[in-house]
This record gives sequence, structure tokens and C-alpha cells, in this order.
Amino acid sequence: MSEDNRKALLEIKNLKKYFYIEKGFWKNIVGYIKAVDGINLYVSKGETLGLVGESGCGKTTLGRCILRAIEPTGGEVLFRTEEGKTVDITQLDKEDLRLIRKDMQMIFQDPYSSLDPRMTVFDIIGEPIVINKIAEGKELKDRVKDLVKIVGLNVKHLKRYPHAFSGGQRQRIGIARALAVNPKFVVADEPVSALDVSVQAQILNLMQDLQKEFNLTYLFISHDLSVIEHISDRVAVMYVGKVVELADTEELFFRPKHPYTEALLSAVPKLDPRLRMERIILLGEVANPANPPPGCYFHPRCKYAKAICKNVEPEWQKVGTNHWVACHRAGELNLRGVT
Amino acid sequence: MKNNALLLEINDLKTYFYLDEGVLKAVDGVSFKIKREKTLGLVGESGCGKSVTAQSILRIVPHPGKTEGEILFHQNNKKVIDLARLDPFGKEIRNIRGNEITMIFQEPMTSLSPLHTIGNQIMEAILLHQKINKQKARRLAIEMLDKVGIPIPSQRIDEYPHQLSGGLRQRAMIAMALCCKPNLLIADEPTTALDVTVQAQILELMKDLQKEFGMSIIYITHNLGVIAEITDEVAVMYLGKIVEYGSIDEIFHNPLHPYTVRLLKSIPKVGRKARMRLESIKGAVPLPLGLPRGCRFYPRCPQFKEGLCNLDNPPLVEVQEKHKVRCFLFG
Amino acid sequence: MKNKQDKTSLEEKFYIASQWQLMWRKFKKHKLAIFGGTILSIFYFITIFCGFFSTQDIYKRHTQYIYAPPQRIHFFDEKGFHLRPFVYGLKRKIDPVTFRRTYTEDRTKKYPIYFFTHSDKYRLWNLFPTDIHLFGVKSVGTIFIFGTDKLGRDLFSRNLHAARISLSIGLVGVFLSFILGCILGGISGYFGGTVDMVIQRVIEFLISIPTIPLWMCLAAALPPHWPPIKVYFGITIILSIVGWCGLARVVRGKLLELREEDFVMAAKIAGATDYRIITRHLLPSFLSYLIVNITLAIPSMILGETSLSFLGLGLQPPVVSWGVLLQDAQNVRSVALHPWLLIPGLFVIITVLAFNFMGDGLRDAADPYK
Repeated sequence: MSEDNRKALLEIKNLKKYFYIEKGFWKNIVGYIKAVDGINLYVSKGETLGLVGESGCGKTTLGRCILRAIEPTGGEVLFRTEEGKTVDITQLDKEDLRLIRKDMQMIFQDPYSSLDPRMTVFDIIGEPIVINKIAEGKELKDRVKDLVKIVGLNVKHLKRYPHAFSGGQRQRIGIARALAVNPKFVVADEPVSALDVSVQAQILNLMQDLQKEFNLTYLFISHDLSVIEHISDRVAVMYVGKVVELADTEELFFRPKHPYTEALLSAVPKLDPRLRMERIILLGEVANPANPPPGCYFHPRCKYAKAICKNVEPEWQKVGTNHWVACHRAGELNLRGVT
Repeated sequence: MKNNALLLEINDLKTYFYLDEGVLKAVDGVSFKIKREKTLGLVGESGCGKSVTAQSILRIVPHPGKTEGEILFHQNNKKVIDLARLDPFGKEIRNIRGNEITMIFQEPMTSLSPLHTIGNQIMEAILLHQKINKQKARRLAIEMLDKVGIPIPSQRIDEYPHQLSGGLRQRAMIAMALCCKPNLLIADEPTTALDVTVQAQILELMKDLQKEFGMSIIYITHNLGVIAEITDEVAVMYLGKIVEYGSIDEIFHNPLHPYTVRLLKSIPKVGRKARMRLESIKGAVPLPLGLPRGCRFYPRCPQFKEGLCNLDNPPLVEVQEKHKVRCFLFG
Repeated sequence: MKNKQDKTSLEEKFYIASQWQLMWRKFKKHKLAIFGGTILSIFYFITIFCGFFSTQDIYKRHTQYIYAPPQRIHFFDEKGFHLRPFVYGLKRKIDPVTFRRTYTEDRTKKYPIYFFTHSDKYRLWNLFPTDIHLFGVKSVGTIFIFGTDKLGRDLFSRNLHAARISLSIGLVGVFLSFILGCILGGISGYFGGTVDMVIQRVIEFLISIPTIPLWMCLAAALPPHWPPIKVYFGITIILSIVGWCGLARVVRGKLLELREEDFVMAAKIAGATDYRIITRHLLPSFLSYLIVNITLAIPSMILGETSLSFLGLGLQPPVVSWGVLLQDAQNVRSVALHPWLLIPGLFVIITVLAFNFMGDGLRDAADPYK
């Protein structure tokens, strides 16, 4: 592993996921969507890496590829186990994968479809424990009760079915299920976007508390920049299957180096009517990942674009401590961050 | 038309749904006024009745719902009609709906017909309310599409909704809503399904069009950031009632109701450096079915007073000019 | 205070209600479905004990009473009301020119109806020999509630026995198509790829063949010397050859839909095996939809059997089914003169409607979480 990420719990190297577009009777492959297109990232132990991007940028696909909930097309996902060994998740066979999943879990976006409506809360939270043969009988009961208490639900409600709970409570059940096997690494895929504003804060606070208590490492995926800023130590910005900028949270929000990051930051509505200011209004919409433009994918919407941006794909370059960006003009531009 | 003239006045609006499980009081005694060329924000969490309020104004409340109260609409010819008294399927309301009052929705795909081109749908709206011929209507439709910023409108007019991206679809919806030059536009979460960069485009567009067409807007959303961006006055709703009502500046810089205060504090803000804990509101929004006596918010309120809040419903009192609040702590 | 406690325990009951309990709550609200369900339960109950409910042996010929019309059950005679119902005897008159028989009530002969009478012997479920019938008249008289057929056999008893065949053929046929549909639809949906494509094309081919000619071909292929029981199963297999296609499509579609649900992915990430995912998550999820589809498939099976037998290609006498009984009503003359021969048709209509009502209610209740 390289110098910057010696402490990395997880390192992603050139990860790719292409979805094939099939057409016609014989399902001929007529093209592919590069949902995740050669991504390099690392996540250090105990930190939260925020992954932000607009719909269709591939952030959810990336999260699922890391856990191999869907099969990546190429690349490596290196995970450091407790014994200090580094394993490539993409190369594991079924049995080893089942074992390693005890260390990696996921929290889902939709609190409604992520819980089986036909199982009681006890069965839902207990399922990973039973599957992985961690505990049974009374021990299982105690473990589930502990988990329920940890996420702030009433122990009396274990016999209830998910339909008895509100969105926020369901999300707590989902978190308890993810924690049931004592994971080290948790992918949280938009865990608060389906919730009411007043409940969002409860879940964000809970996730922060749990991180401290169990020394968890999060990959936190969201489209909401304010949530990302609140919870992340470092942030990666994705655009059409690629990471365009990666930096420490403060650095990225106050000194962005990529024009897309700048535009995203400017587009977020400010919670203060006195701060209505001139925004950077991006032209057009997110590029079609099945047919991305040549050169830098962002150039048709970029007001700083030059000739080189239209032809040459920008390189991933380091522009400061812990700050990487993929932009031809990163060195010369002076972009506006959060004011 | 002069400014500050009243356009819509709602008094004690009640929309109840009579279900098997009981009476669902979706909107329970809501009153507000909208002036011409102003924007009112209706903000609240799920189940607060903001969308049903809009449906009540247009009289398109779905089946078991019944609307009571006064919805006084001041028409251009100085006539005032009470929309609440009109037959929801009658001719009068149909003349107003889609013409003087129009609405745009969260998901344009569900409100645009997939079988017709966007041009046909806009022209249909024009021909329904204006006595002009087809060629003229088409020209008007192209003009509208151009105004909402759809590139190459003369080509796009013959495309079907699925051929447009989410942002363009929402623009087409807006074009359709504005083609009859309405006095009031009701926007129900029009940017919630869109990406932030596209949301910024649409908000900007709506502001520009409001200036150009001089219409009033009721903007419904759960996103306080969007409210801060676009509205002049805000009504914060909780479980069918307005809990706080005031100018945009008052609501954001001098919030009074415990719910508004907590809500504003519970949202992470961009640019706040310290990663402190968010203040959250305990519990969740209950279903507005069989609610307890007293203030709707008291089970979640940190400033709840036993023997007061759980007995009576506080009235909406004016604490300052242009600032009303429904809480026993005030007035 | 007590009131409040009642309310909370009621809520708690709702919260800990399983899928089936919730479905039952929703189903109960569908009045028409409950009505259909009740009718079907009565029908099936009667068919189970059809020997007991019928008044006589279905093969017994009353040569004196050929094409006798239904006898009315009376409570009043010239002397007034009687608590015990009775029937009058029948007087036959033959037109010397046309040989047409006409029957009139013979008011001088009165046969009271008794309950739990001893009459023709039969074996209950082919096991227990007995001669007790629910009701009947003393052996000197006759009782033909639905009239008699061309051989003077009691149609009421024949209809009840026919119901046993017709109603059970629906169940057995659906059971076969259920197994076929589940296996083939499951393979198609779970493995996908080429297998899926082949199965889907086969289904499309089978569905595109007009059903009646297909059934006719297949039924014609059944060897004529087969005993009735073999023919019975032959017919059910023929009916389910087409019947499984619809079910297989439902299974495949649901499987594809459910495979993408987050809770399935959650189970996968938790380390669940394919077997566990299928049995614990997928199967319970679409079981309710399968039941709905089965309920709606039964009437088409019943109709299929009826039409085949009506055309003389299905079950053959001496076996009785509603279709076989309807064979007698094939020409206009007999329908015009003996309209009671159409009673089996009435039963078919009631049964099919009841199944559809019930299926409708089940469909509404199938997903109680929406």
C-alpha cells in the first residue's frame, strides 16, 4: 500500500463496474454503462469517508461493489483483516466471502424495502447472528436485546413486525442488523435521505455515537452535501463513474479545486434568506454514462473548460496534503468554496 | 394590477378524510393570505397536510376527503369567489383550475401523459382555456418552452416526456402550468426529485418567471433551504395546523415555536466548521389519526408544560407584525 | 383509563400481527369475498359428504318417472300449515299422439319429509357402508327436488355427486399446474439466461394455441378403454398443461422483482446462502400472490372440465360431473321441455363467480403492507 494510506482498512484500486446494454431477441450487447469507471480510494480505520454525487453518478454501485453485493467488472478491493492480512475481496470464493462479510456490513437507503415485512424485529436483527452461528438460544436473545438498546429502541417491541414502526425507527432496526455481527467497516448508502428532517438528525447522531463506541469505519454515501459535511472526515466527489476530487472535509468545502465541486457547493440552498447570492448555475444536466463526452466528462457544463478539456482525460493529481483532483486546470483556477 | 392586492384568502380550512380507522384530520383549521406577486412557502414534514392544503385549494382532494372552510379567490375582474363552495366537478372550478390557478408536481412523469408529445399537452391546456386556433396555440407553446429554457423548442415540442431528462421534464411541466398566465401557481415539491445542480436551475427559473408573469406562488416543500431561497412568507405546518407563520426573515432569524426552533437546529448546515452534535427532536411525526388532546406537538416538545399543553390547543397569536405563532409560551 | 389500556393493547395486537393475520383483517373487510368464500365452503362441505346429502342412489332408475319435473316442497295443504314439510306424489299422463309425458301433482298422495332417514345404501368415502341420508321420504313415495333425467334418475343426487368431481378436478388440476408453474417459473426467474429464454418461449407457444382444440386433441388421445379414474387424472393433466403457464409467469415475475429488494441484498450481505434466501425471504413473500393466482385459476379449470365433458371428450358416463350432466341438455328440444336439466349450469356459474369474488378479495389482501 502506498505511503499515504498505510493505515488504510480498505483500499480500492482501479475498481470498475460496467453494465451491459442488451438489445433484441438474442440480447446482443450494443454498449455499456460505465457506472464505476476505474476508481482509486482508501478508507482509514475509524474514519468516515463521505461519497457525494448526483443521481446516476455510480456512488451506490461503488458501495455495492465493495461489498460484492454486485460483482465488479474489474479492479481490486483490498481489505485488512484483524490478523493484519490483506485480502482482495474481488478474488474471494463464496465461502471466504461469507466469512469476510462479518467484517463488512451495509445500511440501506429505503427503510421500507430493506426490512423483510414478514419477519419480526427479533428475527431481522437476529438473522445475521444465526447465519454466522455467533450465538443461539438465550445468548442470541441477550445479544439482540443489547443491540436494540444500543440503537435506542424499546426492548418490549421485539415481537413487532416492521409495519409497526416509523421510518426513523426502521432505520434504527437496519442499523442494529448491520451491527449484529460486529463489523469493522460499514457502507451507509444514503441512510437518512428517506427520513423526515427532524428524524435525520437522530439517525446521524446515532451513527456518530456508534462509530465512537465500536470504532467503526464508515463509507457514507449521500447526495446531500450538508449531511456529508456534517459526518465525514474526508470527502470524495463523484461525477459519471469517476472520482473527480478527494480531500479532507474542510479543505474540500472551503478550498475546492474542481469546478464541479464548486458548482455543487454553490447549488446547495443556504439556510438563511439573507444569504441569497449569485449562484453558479450549471448548464445542462449530468452526462449520460452510456455515452459520456470525450475528454473530461464535465467539460460541456464547465465554464472554465478549454480546448484540452474536450480531448484529453484529466489525470488524478495531488494538489495538497490529502487533496487529489482530476482537472487540467486545477493549478491555475481559484475556485469559490463555502462562504 | 397593483402590488399588495390580496389574491387568495383561506379561512379555517378543514379537510378531513373519513376512513374505516377513524377521521384523519389532514388539514385542521388552516388560515393564510397570499398577496399578488408574492411567494408563500408551506413547509413541514411528512403528514403535516401541506400537499392536502394545495389539493383543497384546487378542489382535487382524493375520495374520502371532505373540505370545509373558506377559500376566497380574488379574480382579475375584482370578483371574489369561494372555491370551497364550488362543486369539485363543476364547470366553474374547471375554468379556474389549469387557467387561473395551476399546479406543478414532484414527479413530472406521473403528471404528464406518456402517450402524447409535450407540445400536444401544452396546446391542449391552451386550447381548453383560450379561444385561439391550433397554429397560434403551437406558436404559443414553442414560445413557452423557450421561456422555460428548453433548448431548440421547435424540435423538442414534438418529443414525448420519456425522451426528456428529469430537469427538462420539470421545465415542460412549468411551461404547461404557465401557458395560460395563471395568477397563482402551486408548486408541490417541484425540485425534490431533482439533483442539487438542477434544483438550482429550476429555482432560478421560477424566480425569473415570477418576475415576468407576475404570478403568486405557493411553494410546498420539506426542504427549509429551498424555502429560504425562494419565498417571501412562510407557514410552518405540523400535523394539519400552522404552528408558525411569518416573513421569511422572521422565521429564519427569530423563530419562536419550539418546533420551528428545533427543526432549524436539526439540519446540518454547510460551512459550519465544528462537527458538533445536531440537536434532534425526539420521537417521530405520528399519523394524524386519533390525536391526543392539546397541542399537537407536546409529546415531542422539550418545553412542554404539564396541565397546559396537554389540555388545550393553543391559538395562533400575533406576537409581532407579520409573525404569528401557535404556542402557550407566547401570547 | 381502562379504555386507554384497551386501545393500546389493540394497537399492540396490530403491531405484532403477522402477514397472514393482516391479510385476514383486510380480507374480512371485503364483503363480497367473504360471501363467495362462504358459498364455496358450503359447496365443498356438501361434496365431501355428498352421499349423505343426496336423497338416493344416483344410478337407481325410476322407470315410472322419466323426465319428471322438480317436486315442490310444501308446508301448507288444504288443512293449513304443517311444521313437517312434505311433497305430493306425481301423476303421469302420456299424450297418445306425441308420447309426451306430463306430470301433475297428485294431491291425494302426501309424502312427509323425514330427516336422517334410512334409504339406499352407499359407502361414505368408499369406506364406511351406511344408508343414512340427511333427508328423504318413506320408501313408498318419491322425492325429486331437481327432477329426473331421461332414465328416471334423481338429478338432485346426481348434481351433488357431479359437484364432487367437478370441484375436485379444479383443485387437483391447479395443484398440478402449481407444481409445474413453481418449478419452471422458479428455474426461469432464478437462473435466467438461456434457460429462462427457452422456458419463456415454450410458455408463449403454449399460450398461443387455442385451448379448446388443444384440449380436444389431447382428450381424443386418451385411450377409450381407460377406467374412469384414469380418465379423470388424464383430464386434469390435460387441463394443467395449459394452466401452468400463467402461474409460471407470475412466479418468474415476482422472483425477478423480489430479487432486487433491499432486504434480499441485506440477507446476502449478512452471509445467507441461496437456499436460505429462497426459503426464508423469497418464498414467504410471494406465497400470498400464488394463492391469489391459484384461486383465480381454479374456475378456469372447472370451466375447462365442463366444456370438455359437455363436448363428450372429457369424462364419460357412468361418471357424473356437471359437464356430463349438461350433455343431456345439448339440444334445444330437451332444454325447452325439461329446463331442469340446466341446473348443473347454474352450479357452474355460481361456483365460478364465488371463486372470482374470493380471488378478488384475496388479491386486495395479498399485500397488506401497501
